Amino acid sequence: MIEVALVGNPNTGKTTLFNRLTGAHAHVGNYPGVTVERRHGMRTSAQGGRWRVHDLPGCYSLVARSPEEELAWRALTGRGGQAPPDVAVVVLDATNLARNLLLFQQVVDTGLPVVAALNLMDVARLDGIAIDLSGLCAALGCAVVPLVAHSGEGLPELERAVEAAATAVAPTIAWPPAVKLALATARAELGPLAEGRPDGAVAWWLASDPAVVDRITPGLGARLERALPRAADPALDVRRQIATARFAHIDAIVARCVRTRSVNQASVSDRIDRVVLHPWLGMALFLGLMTLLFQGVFIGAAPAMAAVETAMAAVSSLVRTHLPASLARDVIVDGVLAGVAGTLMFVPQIVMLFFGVAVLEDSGYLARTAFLVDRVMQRIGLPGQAFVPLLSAHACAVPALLATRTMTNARDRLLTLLVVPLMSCSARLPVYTLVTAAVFADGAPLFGGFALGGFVVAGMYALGFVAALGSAFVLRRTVVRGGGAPLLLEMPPWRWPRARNVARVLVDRGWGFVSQTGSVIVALTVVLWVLMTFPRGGLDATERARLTQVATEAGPVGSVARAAAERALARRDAQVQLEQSFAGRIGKAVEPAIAPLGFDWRIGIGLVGSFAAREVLVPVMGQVYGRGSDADVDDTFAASVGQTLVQQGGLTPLKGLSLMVFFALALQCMSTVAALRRESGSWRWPALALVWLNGLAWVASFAVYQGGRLLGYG
Amino acid sequence: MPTAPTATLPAPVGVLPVAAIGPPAWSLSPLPLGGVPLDRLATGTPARVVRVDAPGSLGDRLVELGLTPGAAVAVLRRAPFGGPLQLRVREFVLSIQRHTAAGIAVLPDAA
Repeated sequence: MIEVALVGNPNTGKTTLFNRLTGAHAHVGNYPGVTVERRHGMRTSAQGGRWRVHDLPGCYSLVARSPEEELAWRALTGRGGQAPPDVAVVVLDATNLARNLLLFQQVVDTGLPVVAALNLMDVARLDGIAIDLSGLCAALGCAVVPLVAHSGEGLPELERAVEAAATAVAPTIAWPPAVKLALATARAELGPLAEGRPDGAVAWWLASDPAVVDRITPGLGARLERALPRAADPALDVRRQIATARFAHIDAIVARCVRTRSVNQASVSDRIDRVVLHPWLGMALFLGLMTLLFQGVFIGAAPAMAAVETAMAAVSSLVRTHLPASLARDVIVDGVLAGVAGTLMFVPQIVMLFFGVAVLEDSGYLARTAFLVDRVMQRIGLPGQAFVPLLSAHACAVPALLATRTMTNARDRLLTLLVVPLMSCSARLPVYTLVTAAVFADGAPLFGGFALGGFVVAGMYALGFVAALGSAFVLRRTVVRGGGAPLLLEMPPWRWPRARNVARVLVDRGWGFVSQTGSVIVALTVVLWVLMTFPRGGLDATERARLTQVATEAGPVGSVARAAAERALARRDAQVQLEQSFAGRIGKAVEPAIAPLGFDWRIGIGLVGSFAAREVLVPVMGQVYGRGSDADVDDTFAASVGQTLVQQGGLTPLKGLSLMVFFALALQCMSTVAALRRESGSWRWPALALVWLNGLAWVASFAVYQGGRLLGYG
Repeated sequence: MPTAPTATLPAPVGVLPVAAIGPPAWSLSPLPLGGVPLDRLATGTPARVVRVDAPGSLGDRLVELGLTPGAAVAVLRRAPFGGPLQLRVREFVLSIQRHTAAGIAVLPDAA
């Protein structure tokens, strides 16, 4: 088994190479910091060698200051609980060798066998960059493999190079006197740890954050720091002189081996930036794109949703007619099938939302939005770095919480963790859709054919974002003081979104939603069905006799009046049964707390259920209101659930709005709570988030409902 | 984790004087003083980094990203309302805040 570690600067195509090598489906993005965890996969090379490939987080330097740099350091030096790799493949961006070679030198200094993988050769060729490969190979002292990771060009050569890799010769760098002195001091301090190591490796310890060095070798960081205090003039600090000397060495190599045909051309990327990052045009474009995205999701997915709905209704009425009436039939139709329908219904919308986000991300637009909004974010107290995690939380909060690991400042990161759950994730979309379809679907389309529903949904997304910023503003000044790391963001060049990347995101996320979320929803729907069905009960004997009497007197058997009276009896019976069931008792128990928000005990059942998974609200509401209605009309599916909510549950636009506001702000997702615990390292912060966010949801819902009533909306 | 060797090292008495005679003041500086703060460099003007004065690990990071004395740098554009700057540093595009840029001295290239 050959252990191969992939290291490289952010955004050099490292993850693309990892996917190519291992056939894995890791997420690829055109912004720095996509890889936040150590991943590994297997490969069998053409020569028959078995590889275990490790994808390390992208970093600019091995000098450990952020969690991902520390992770890369530990992985390469074998301090992460595992042996060091057999070969380090340093992925270099061929269009930007100078900056990439700093990390390369640091990897060489670890003493590991090294291969330089020169990726993005296709882009380099387009940019008119010519690289003297044999010259570079001689200068770097290791194999250099030109590569186009996304097409697979150069992979056979890479395989051979990795299996023949040897330790590269550590570069001889002309250290300035101050650095030489510092190196001698550090060697004295490090003792046996530094023996036999090149100066570069010692320099790397020197430049690292003492706290991180202390975690690796307790006590050492503080001693290094005492021995080498920072220079009075930061520009002359030894740490910077080390990097400067390395760059002098690198610049000489680049000058020898790289020729750029056209000098200082206004590149295509820059011309696009001129429009996209224009002071007011850029802002207008940003708002326009977001509007288009949500309108597109709302309008574009409608036909597909209708098709899924029709199909599911057909399946369930087929089951209903072909199975004898029994509890088993009811659990299949009202439990399992309703859960499946509640999942499949929203696949078109979720796939469209992910499509939009994937295109924006792969093109390089997402990274640019951080530039546009940084100033606003800073005013509020969130760093610009928080913006990409916040945007990606619109898909799901859990990966967004992971993405905050790229943030360098612990307080900033904590603050971001606490407000990420306010972003409207894809699990809220079904709820918005349900309520919007029920109470905001009427009326002529607004100007330009935009639907009112699209704006209501976009408004909910905006509400989540504003609430996150507002919460950050308050928390920064109360619970989470400090922090405020400055922006330091590399902007990737514009790229055409690659169909392969976009398709991969769609398939992974769409399937992930169906398989993972879907199974949870189906299970919960069945559990709630059981809670709503038992204990068995219904009308008491006298009431039943009275209503039967009413039905008999309504008219002869088969007449319209008789049938209506019998339906009323059945509905009354079902409602009483629901009220007496376990779920009904739970709903009644929470009713006093939610009545001021405009919700009755029946919505209460849905609310309790949605604390396990928000999407459950739709099938559960279908069951709550569908019971006792005409058996031949299927009321368990979303659009009809909406109508039933209006007809039988008395859902008004105001109550609907209040419900959506509650869902937009409340922290109801147990996976998010678990991820918060893991990422913040204590139960304190998830507890704070639960209190804060759910309190906020209650207060906002209360304000909407009671305010609306005062203004005369019912 | 190799902790044992460090635990037996003597206290760093002999080390402090070395730090004291390390580069203590800008008067010994091999770097030229002067230049203009990067945040005041006109958009589109090519320039060279003179020195990075931004303190602490932020400054260290800027240097590691390639903002070493002598490196080519230009301001591509400025975000509105005092927002960040978009820079071209060596061969890549970097975005930093204005007050960060104020800690980087540059010398515009002679036309």
